Amino acid sequence: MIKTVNLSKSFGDKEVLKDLSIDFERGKTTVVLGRSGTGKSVLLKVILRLLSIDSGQVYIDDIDTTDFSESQMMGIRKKMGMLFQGSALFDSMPVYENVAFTLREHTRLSEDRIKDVVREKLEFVEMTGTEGLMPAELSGGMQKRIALARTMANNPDYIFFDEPTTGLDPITARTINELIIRVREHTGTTVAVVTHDLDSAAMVAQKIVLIKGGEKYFEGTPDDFQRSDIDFVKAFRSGGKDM
Amino acid sequence: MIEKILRNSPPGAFFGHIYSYILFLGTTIRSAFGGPFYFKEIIEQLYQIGNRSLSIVILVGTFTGMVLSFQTGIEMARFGAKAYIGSVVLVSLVRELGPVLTALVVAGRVGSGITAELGSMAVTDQINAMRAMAADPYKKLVLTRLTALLIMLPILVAVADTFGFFGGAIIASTNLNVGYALYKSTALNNIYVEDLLSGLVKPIVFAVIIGTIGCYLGMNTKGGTKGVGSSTTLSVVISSIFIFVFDFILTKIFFLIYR
Repeated sequence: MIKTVNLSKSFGDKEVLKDLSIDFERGKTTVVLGRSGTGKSVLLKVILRLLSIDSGQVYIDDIDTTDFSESQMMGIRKKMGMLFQGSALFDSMPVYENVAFTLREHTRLSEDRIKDVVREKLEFVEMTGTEGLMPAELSGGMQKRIALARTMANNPDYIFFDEPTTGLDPITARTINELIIRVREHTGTTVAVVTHDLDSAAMVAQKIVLIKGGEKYFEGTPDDFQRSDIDFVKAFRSGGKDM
Repeated sequence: MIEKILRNSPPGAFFGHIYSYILFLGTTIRSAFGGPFYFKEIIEQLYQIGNRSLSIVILVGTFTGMVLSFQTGIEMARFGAKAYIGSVVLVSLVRELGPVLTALVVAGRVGSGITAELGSMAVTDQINAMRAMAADPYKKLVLTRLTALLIMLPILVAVADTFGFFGGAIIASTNLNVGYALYKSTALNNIYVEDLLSGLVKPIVFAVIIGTIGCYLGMNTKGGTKGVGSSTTLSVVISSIFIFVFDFILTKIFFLIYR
């Protein structure tokens, strides 16, 4: 389980996260909803310590990682994976090398075994046959799927999705949402998704957290979210009509 | 925390960068100890640096030797000393012009390329993705490029010196009536160990300057494609300034040691 306790983060004078406490429960999909610029991506980066923590604690598997150094975090990150908003595929490497990256970094698998794992992960995201293509030759949706295959290559315990459906057409977005569900169902991975896409949240979430201005406004099941009378939740559900 | 305090005051921004750069150097040095070692990437970078720079280094070296031979040869002829043109050309190239001009070419061709590549990776979250996958970008991106520069820059300087020497020989022979045998013998008789040492140490220091400034600015690029452009320009400007400053400092040190 991942747990943040009173997590705060500022950039200059701008406070992006304010005393944010969230539990990402093991084997479940938690969706963090919020408007653009409310610190959702920052939350994921702070948990992974790609950004530093100003105050508060982050627990991963009951270990307080708040004061961990970069080298200590390396060990923790081997158990985690993150799919970035822009996919962040290594554009100087073909798809095969992108997916094989963590295997080459952290395992001593033979090239034949690496080839098998890459093929298996590409099959999972339905991108078989793209091994030789460069990221620039792929569409946005295809890049997301390859990025997911890369993230899954070393079977992480946790996968973070940063705005997985942003910029995609509804059909491709649905495919990505289905993949997120399949990841959890097939591997038991704990999934955290940050998004402003209500359809995506409705489809993949088992728990929803709504944040505004870096603060938590709502936490509950998707059903609770639909029934909530909190003004901001109602406004968010209705796309601002109830504001 | 110290960095934050420094950056929050306008005059402190400069010192904030100096502080960040020192931290960057410390992290780079620390990452050199212990595996994994990326030999394949170093070979790739050696090829990239050599491939990007070799032709222009040959051109710069050859024409520098020719100009040096022509201009100093004419002046030396007035004092009846043109026989020593080979010595002047070789010593000037080995001690000063070879290392400095080659470093400036490499800063423009390779340093800018490193900053642009790492800057693009930074603004598209590729460096964050690398860290998220528990890979050390200092080992994989910085050390590989720095190591390749440390190996390749002295080689490129040697190439520039060699072509400059022969360029000077052509002018000495065709314009000054100094034959190749005389040109070569005066050159080799008047080159000393300290000249060669200076010619070896300077490229190593310049490689550190180009590599670390190029990587530091690249990895700290913010602000999308505009930021990549700014960092790339800054990389060439700062590297060039530091090359001239450290050239003077090293020349002074060698003078003090060997006077």
